[in-house]
Amino acid sequence: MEEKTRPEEVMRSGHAACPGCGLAMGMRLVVQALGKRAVVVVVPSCVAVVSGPYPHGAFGVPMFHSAFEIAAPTAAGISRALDIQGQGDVPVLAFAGDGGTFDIGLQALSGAADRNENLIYVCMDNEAYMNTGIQVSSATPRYAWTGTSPRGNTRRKKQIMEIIAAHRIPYAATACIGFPEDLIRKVKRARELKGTRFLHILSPCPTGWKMAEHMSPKVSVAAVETNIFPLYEIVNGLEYTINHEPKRLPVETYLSLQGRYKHLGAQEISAIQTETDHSWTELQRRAEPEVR
Amino acid sequence: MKKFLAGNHAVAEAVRLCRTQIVAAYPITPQTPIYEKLSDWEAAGELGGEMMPTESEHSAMAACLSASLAGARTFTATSSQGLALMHEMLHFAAGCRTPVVMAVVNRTLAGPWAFWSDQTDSLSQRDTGWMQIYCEDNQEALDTVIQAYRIAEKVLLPCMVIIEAYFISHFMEPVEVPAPELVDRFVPPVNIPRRFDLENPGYVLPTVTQKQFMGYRQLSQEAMMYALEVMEDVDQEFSEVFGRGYGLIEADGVEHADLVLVTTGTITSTARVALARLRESGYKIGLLKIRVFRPFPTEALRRVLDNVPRIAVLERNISLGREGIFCSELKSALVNSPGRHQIQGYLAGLGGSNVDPDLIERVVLDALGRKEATDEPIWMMEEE
Amino acid sequence: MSERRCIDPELIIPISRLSTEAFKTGTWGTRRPVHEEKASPCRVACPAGNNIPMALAKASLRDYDGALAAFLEESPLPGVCGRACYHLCEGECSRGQWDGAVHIQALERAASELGTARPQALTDAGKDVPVAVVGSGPAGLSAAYHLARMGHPVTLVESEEALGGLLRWGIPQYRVPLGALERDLARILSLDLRVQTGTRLDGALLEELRSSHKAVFLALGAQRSLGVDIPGNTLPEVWLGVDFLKAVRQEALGGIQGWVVVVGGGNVAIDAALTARKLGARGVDLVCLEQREEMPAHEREISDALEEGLTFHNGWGPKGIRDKNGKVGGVECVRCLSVFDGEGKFNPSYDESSTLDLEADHVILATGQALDLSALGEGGPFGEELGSALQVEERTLQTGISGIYAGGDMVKAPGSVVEAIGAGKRAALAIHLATLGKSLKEAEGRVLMGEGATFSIHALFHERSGWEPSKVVRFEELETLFLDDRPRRELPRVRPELRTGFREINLSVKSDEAAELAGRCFFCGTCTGCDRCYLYCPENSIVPPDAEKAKYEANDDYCKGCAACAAVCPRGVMSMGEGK
Repeated sequence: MEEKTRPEEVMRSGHAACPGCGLAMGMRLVVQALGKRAVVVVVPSCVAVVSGPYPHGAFGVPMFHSAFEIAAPTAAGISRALDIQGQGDVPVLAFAGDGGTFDIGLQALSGAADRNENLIYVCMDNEAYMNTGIQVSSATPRYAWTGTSPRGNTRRKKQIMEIIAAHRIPYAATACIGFPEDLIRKVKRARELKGTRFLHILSPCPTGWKMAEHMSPKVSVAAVETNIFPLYEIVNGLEYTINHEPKRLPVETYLSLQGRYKHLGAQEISAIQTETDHSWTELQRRAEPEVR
Repeated sequence: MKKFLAGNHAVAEAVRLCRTQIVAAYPITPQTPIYEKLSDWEAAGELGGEMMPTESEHSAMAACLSASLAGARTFTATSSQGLALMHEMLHFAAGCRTPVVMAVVNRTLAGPWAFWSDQTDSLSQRDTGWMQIYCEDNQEALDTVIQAYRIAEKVLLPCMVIIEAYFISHFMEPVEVPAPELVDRFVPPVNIPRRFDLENPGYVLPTVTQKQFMGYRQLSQEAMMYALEVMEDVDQEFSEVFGRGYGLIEADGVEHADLVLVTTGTITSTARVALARLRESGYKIGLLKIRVFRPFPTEALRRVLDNVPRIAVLERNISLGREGIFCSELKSALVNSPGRHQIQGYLAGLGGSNVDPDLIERVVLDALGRKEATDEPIWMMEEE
Repeated sequence: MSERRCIDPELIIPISRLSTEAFKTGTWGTRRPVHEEKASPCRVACPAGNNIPMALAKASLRDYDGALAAFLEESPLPGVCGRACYHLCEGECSRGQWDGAVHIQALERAASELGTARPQALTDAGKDVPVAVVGSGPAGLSAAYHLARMGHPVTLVESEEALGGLLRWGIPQYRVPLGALERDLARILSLDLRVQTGTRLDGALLEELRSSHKAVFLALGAQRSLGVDIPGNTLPEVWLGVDFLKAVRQEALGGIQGWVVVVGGGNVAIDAALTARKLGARGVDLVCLEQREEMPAHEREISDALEEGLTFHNGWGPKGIRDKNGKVGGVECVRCLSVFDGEGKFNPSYDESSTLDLEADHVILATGQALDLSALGEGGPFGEELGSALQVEERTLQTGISGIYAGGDMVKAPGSVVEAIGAGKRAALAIHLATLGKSLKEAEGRVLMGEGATFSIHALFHERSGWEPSKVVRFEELETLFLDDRPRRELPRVRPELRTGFREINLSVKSDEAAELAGRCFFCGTCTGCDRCYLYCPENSIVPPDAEKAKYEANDDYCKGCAACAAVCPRGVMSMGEGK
């Protein structure tokens, strides 16, 4: 076969993620796109599990394992220090889970975004507290089963992108492993910018979403094609660009792949469809050139 | 150059003189003038470093410690609720061996709400691994910040410089602000380890084994003990350069005293006045100011107090369920003394209530009149 | 280094420079990916066994040289097939079940037009084994081509003055222009064959070829047009199907005026009909026994004919040709009720009372072709065995006479060009192996694709590990979520009203468009090096191919057996197996 040049890998094998972990897939692509000239902050969450069981590290870049809720100011502090030391071109990237972003870390993230701190914040969203078992977070979608929402979550998934957009940061984007080229492009784009850059990466979790180990890529594609998780970018909090025209498959295509939704009845599915359609219409409206 | 400064501003002057690179802070009464002064200077291009107006104290400390790990000289200031909010990060900063310097303005911890001076906030952080130095006045506050950077960056442990709300923070006094060149020589440009090395990348702060963890704590303890030595050296050098020195403790008239009164912070100043009166009346009362609380200057205290039979400790804090914290720590420091001590604890000034010379006089007389000390502290309420 | 441990930067906080690679997570699971290329439905359906996925993979990257080379691996006539083949491949194309089959035929043509490549030798093992091939139609050309590639000195004998057989004389230029045929022929001839044109086979020649060559492959085609035994069939303007077409190609015919009636429902009938139209006929009627859906002609030919204004009369049989002053005046037809009887045999039944009279100035009887072995002489050693009861062994194409093989239309008519190519290839291999004392069955077993008779000759000589040709990846196995939406669109053709003369009806596809069309291919069963399995592995433990090995493999030390690599392979190449 022909020789092919591939980008240098930054993430190493041997980490402790579950087999088929969608979060690990995502992190691997992110750091590959980021390159070796970078500093990475990780916090307790599945992110830290992927970063390597003690005392070994999974990334070939300087890493710091900080506390749960402070990925954002930690990265900001390092970034400022590097800048003072004349290494302002070195990107500092913070990985956090959905808990550390939507819940306990939301204040810190908001503060950093508000100050437009110079960092890339990547939320690996597996839609629950998975590192500690499977507990509900504000990123858990409505109706999903978790250990602390055993009859199905009653709350709507928090719209983190809307919250982030309200801060008018230079760049925010959604991405997922089902579309790896899109994800890589977005990381690279973020890397070239300054200020607060935010990536929301849907990270399927076979363990917590109750699927077979190989399902992460397929369910990622389904998430996008059903509009459950559209792919788009927001520049300066106002300019929306939709990156992928979805096939608009019915939400059932996505829900039926996961055991955490197997208790859903027709009414719930219909409610999810309505909500998804509405959000998509909203998103399209925002992406209209005249609206900007 | 002498300036008429409030304690907060004296602290700010020192922070600027030390060429602090990053100040991450969040406002809380009565710390705000420190924060505002530094921000003012930054806006006017007169600070040298950069301000980071974080959205909470917890984030402020997170940013300070991570910037410090990256090799920058950092500072923050807080009080009371803010300090309590930082608690998790205080352990983290100390465990990461970062030489962050923080000014703490002692203020009551709610509930109930009260906004005046009380030492419980800083003392309840005494287990976090931070060095703690309690200042008596504005000059000492300024000088201690300068010393703190030298000490912290030598032993690689963070340091709190502690002043009382209003009595120091807002009270204006003439303060000698040293010349920048002198401070530059005393506190050289920051040269602490830069932990994020692109050439030799490592995973900073992975999980460690149980045994390894105990080893790290032991190293930190050794560093704390070494800090006592470093503090004395730095203080000695400081007095040579700037003409002022403070020591780990200050003992005044302790030898041959019938009773030694142990105080900290501004109560010391008031005690000086009260004791002068008492001595005039013929009482032999010694005064012992505890300045450095962490690391606890056991050896220095024992040298001075080992043969002192009667001690009264007067303090502006309480560890509920036990007694005043300075008193507890003193008692435990003296437990191995050859002689027996009668140590009586007194609480006054909690919540910022007034401690005047009369109150101190009553404390001394009460202590002198006791055959036996009580295990419980005696509460000296403000007189109506 | 510091003077004290307690402030030594190296000691006071943990900074690990150890890699997680110390943990051999391969122990977590026992399943491992298996990278195994398989056959694609299109390739299995192609009688020539064309390596379609490889060719399209190259074309999608604008590597038309590579695409052409891929076709030349198995077939010598990409220019011809790219125009005249009935593309069974497209019928089986998996994409056909998604949003429309890939334009495989148009891309074969594009490769032949946009690429340059030389036929590659397979081996020189046959260098001392001369073989004769008689007939230079597609079967003969294919046999000569592959034999020469296997090192054999080949003598190619052809009765006409120019090579090509039916490709030259039977297929009209508007379907395969002469230039395209000549290009294919030039490539074949670059293999240094010994060609004897203008040499008709008879008993003596056959005997001589047998003695001077180790084997002889007969590919004489079905040259004899059958005609219909009806009154008037000897009138001057009555032609027989293939003879008519041949005469046109040999330019022995000027224009045609007046009305033409063509009898027959097969491809030759339609070719003749359209040819007559293009030569200037005022009108052309086509009469055949079959109903439209029963007609043996390919649907595409039928619709082309209708587009160009031909009139079909389905369900009529010719009864007689009217004589008008010694010339053709018309054709009388009788209603045909059914073509085949209850046993499925050709046994038309008529309703004599229902008749149709068609005006005609010319009549072309295109009612079938048959083998003509009269030249070999009746009663001779060949006449019996190779007579009208010619039988060949199914797999080796060996006739009853040792050393003589036969294939193509002469064995089974009517066949298609690509079937003939497949037969020639099969015969070539059978001959090659027989002369070396090796078993065809054993060799075939390694390269047979799917469950049919299609095989890859290239694979026989290029050891390809990890290819399991008996396994076919079908549409049902593909994950539709990974498939994009790019519906098939029809390619431009010359508008019917502009199809004057004999210019080609189908237009060439340009490079950009070809690459885009080729990119629609799913490449079923063929690893295209897309790297998906590599990219998606959460353990970064798929080792991609390099110069030493062509397969993607799991790093046994770290693979946890999650099967994501198999799940994301959109072509059915990666699957999971137990054990390491």
